[in-house]
Amino acid sequence: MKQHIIVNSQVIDVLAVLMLMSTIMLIGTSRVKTCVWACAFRSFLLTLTSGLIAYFSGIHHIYITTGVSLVLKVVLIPGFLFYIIDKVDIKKEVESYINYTLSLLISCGLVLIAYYSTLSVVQFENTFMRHCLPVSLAITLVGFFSMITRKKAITQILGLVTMEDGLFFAALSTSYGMPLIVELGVFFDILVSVIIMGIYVYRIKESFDTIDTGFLRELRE
Amino acid sequence: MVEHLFVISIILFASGSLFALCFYGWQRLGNYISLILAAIASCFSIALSVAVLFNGSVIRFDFLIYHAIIKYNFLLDPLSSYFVLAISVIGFIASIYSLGYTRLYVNKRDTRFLGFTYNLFLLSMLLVVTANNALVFMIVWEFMTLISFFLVIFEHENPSNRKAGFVYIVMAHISSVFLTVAFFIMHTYAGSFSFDDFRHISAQIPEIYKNIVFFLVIVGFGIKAGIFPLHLWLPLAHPAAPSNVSMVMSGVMIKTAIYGFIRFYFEFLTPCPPWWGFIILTVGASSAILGILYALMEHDIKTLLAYSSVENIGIILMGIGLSMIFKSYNLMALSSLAMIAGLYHLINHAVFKCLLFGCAGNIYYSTHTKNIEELGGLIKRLQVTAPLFLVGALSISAIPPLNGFMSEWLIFQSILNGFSLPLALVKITTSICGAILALAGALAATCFIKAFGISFLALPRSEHAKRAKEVPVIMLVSMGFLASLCVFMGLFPAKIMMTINQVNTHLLGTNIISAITTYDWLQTKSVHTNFTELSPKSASVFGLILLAVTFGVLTILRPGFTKKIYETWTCGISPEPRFGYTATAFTKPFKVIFSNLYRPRREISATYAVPKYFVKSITYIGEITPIFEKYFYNPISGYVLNISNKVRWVHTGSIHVYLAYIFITLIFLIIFIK
Amino acid sequence: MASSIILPILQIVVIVGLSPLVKGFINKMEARLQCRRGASLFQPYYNLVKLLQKDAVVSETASWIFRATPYVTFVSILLIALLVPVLSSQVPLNFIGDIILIIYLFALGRFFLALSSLDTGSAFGGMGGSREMAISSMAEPAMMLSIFTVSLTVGSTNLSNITSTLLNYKSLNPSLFLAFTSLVIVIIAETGRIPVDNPFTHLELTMIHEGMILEFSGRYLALIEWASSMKLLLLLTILVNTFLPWGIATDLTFPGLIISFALYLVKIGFFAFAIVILESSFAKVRLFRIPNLLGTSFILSVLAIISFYVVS
Repeated sequence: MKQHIIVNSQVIDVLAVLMLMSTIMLIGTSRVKTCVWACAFRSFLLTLTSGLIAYFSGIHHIYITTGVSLVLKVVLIPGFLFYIIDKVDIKKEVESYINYTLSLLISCGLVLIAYYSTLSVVQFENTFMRHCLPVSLAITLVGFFSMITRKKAITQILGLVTMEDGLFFAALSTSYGMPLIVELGVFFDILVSVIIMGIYVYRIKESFDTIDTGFLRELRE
Repeated sequence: MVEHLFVISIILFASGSLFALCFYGWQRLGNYISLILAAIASCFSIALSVAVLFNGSVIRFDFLIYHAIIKYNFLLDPLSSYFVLAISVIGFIASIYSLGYTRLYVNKRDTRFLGFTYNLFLLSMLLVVTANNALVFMIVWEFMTLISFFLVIFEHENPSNRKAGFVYIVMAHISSVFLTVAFFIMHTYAGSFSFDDFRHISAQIPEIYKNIVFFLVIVGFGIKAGIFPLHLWLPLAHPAAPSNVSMVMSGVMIKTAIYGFIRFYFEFLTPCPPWWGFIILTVGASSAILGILYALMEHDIKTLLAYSSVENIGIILMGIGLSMIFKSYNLMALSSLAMIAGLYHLINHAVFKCLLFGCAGNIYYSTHTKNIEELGGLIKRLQVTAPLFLVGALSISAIPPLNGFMSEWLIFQSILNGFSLPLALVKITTSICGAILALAGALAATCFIKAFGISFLALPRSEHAKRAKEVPVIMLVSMGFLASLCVFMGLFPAKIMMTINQVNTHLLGTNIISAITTYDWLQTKSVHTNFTELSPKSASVFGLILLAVTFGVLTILRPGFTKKIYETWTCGISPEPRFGYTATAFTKPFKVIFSNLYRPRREISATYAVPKYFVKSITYIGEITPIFEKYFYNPISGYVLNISNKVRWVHTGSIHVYLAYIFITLIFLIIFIK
Repeated sequence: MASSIILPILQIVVIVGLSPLVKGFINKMEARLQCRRGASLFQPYYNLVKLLQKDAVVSETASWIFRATPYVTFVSILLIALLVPVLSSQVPLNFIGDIILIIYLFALGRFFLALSSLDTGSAFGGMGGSREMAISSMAEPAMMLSIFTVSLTVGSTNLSNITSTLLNYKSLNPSLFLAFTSLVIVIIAETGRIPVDNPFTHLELTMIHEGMILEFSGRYLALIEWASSMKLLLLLTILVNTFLPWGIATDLTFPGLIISFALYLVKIGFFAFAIVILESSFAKVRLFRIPNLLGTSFILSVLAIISFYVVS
């Protein structure tokens, strides 16, 4: 059983790092569709992780959140985003306020900050699941950062989904998930906000011919 | 016996300089005699340093004048004699080189003055690294600065040389101010100016003053070493000086500042807190990368070499910084390894930078231009200089099996050993500094491919280059000696490391040489740390075997292999130098990649003939913005000038007012001193 | 003693003999994916034989550097072939050097190639040379940090030690995953495959490696092409035997070597096929987007180091 736990934790560590890698890919790519694929891949890895945690810890309500997360974040939300991208007919490039290299360096710095700040918490004797807490914090920070610096609304939605992923993973790895009601509530919250954002994107595009959220400032006057 | 060698060297240098002044009218003879005396004096000091190093002893000289009121104390311990060795070897080679190079100046300028100042320059550097008293040190330091200033403005008709000299002397004086304050703080706690007393008081200095001295020393010696961002004078002063002086300045004068760093941080201010070594490491890494980035954009060959010196000083400081960090955590074996790496790179850099400046001097001697964009095709005209420059370029790019590779390998091993440090932040920064070092090494290779390729290869781009002739034999012989030294130091690292180990034993108290070098059954010298093994001699042996095998197999397979010579395809036109790539074009990808750093500026202006449809001429200016000058130096100098303008009212020019100043000061003194 | 002579010779024979086959395999698979029949699997061998039989045409502007470069490049790659564990994890000549020496031996070949590209005075050479130096400089920090991660995990930079330690490594270390990904991107940049450089093009403005070697012909071109295919095979070997060393022979018994060779062929074939898929799915990126790609690789290697320091 000990061997089991060791292998289990190492697999979860590996999955955590793969999730971090796909979040970096979110920053590191210049095409919107690739961003959506990166988020979908990360959500898929997250569902795998939660499934594994549910299996090995035996807490059954995590299975429910795994299922919901699978349906929502891996199938529905990316599918919906692809539909919107095609319908709205935008330029398929990611536009951001700061240039590419600087955003890569800043996201690397954010990962460093996440590791550094959780270092004192993570110093237990065993080396199992050491990566989960820093990685979840890093994913949240990188998601927030991409929301700040990206111009297109679609990429901001992706940043929001990333943040939610990060928080879910943090809750999962430290305390085996939040109470079921809270998690289901958060999920449906996300689903509704994505759908509303999608509809708004379509409407904004029709009215203003652009979905650059910077232009929304012109509504101020 | 050994003491006599020291005195003999000093006397020979001094007499060399005086002899230079004596021969009025027989300029060539005077020039030769002074340079030969300099060479002989350097030989004596080589012998001196070797004797002290391998004896491991410490020798003191005290010249007491005026009944011990003024003490001139000199000390030769292994650290000083290592630097004396570097200074003397480079001094010897540069003197032999100058025998040929100064023919450029004979009968056109005052070579007596050149000989005079040159000998005094070498003497002053010798005295700087052996001084054992803070007063003596500052006197000789100022002397060295002054003499090198005169050497920098030797060709004073050129206004850019005068400006270079001015910037140099201002910055050198700023460094002297910082050093003087540092020495005064040490003097307050030691009670005397002698370095021997400084060594024992480290425990009594309060923490805050130690940190203040740390910063004063970094700025003071850092200006002289040319670390970033205090490097402004280096790319101006080294190209302005004549080539035989530039090689000494860039080869050893900036290393005297490293001597200062080691003396202060390893002897006077021990034990150091780890964050000092950390700052030195990061300062070294940033100098390395920024030095080479600016070297990439330069097209004057000597400015390129000067910026590359900034890079290499950065690499040396990375080794020294790592040594300080390890020492502060009491990991003495690793500290010795890092110190060996830093000091090995120091002497490697002295050798190959001297070689490169010498070859640049050869180019200048035969073509009278330093601009790479006007050269080209020199490999067919300067047939001996070209392979020498190639050896220098390969060494500085850390290509195996030459000496640059050995020292960079040792620094990488020290960085990998940073794993043993306790703090995670320090470990990560050390690894990132390793990545920066790898980037700097690759950029240095590009820079020297550009320097060698555009100057020596392809077609000549100007009349000077077309008519270049090979330089006098003596210049080639001296550079050839340095090139073979590069190869030797790369193939036989164990000997060099045993020499440096003597310094380590004295400085750090550890002797790790047996852990590092072993001789195996092939008698190949290996470098064996607890991580891995490296044997450059056997690598070269196997390389030569493989080359012979390849060549043999190919010749057997097809004995009749011939080469047909034809002109290069240039789309049907006869090849012209305009078709070849230029230096600006070669490094353009870097200008674009690092455009945030360089802020390149492009200006195209056209002048039109009377009807506006006909263009008479188009001017294109493309340059990079010197952001450190613009945002760091210019504001500071503007601020200083502002203040001095405001204080100007004190100088009224009237004698009565000045007498009044003296009178008022006298009254104050009488009242307050009682 | 006998094994320490036979094994290096065997390694050189395998690397020298197998590398044109790997290139032929990649070309053939790519053609198949494009619904063509493609050239024969052994076409690179026929090319090399043809080139070795021809005379060389040398530009009159070129100097001895141009004529020496093919030999320097070829011999430096052969020296690397002596150091890399191919069939057995114990390389008898590993006292010569370690992975850092290997990286700088690649730099030696590249130095002379870039010089020879400037030597002939043609514009294509200069263009290829400057771009190649820019790309390889950007790839160096990522490669160095990934190598650091691997050597810190193992405790040595010596390739035999790395291979034998990772052979017995029982834990899944996430930092090795990140280092692996970073190294894959670096290998694509160093060997000049799509999406960094197109090895099939001969248009002046789009070639990088091909631009550097444009002026070579005859025996010189044969040596340089062979060296570049050996470079691809050597980099793949380093990748395979460092991160996936299972099955490599630890002692020098004959059946062990045969099994090791068969597994080596399978692994190299797998990676070659992965290169084919990568090349067929992506387009070549613009020249000034390549630093972005290499920047991503650098970030991944920094993450590898960070996650290594957290685990230990």
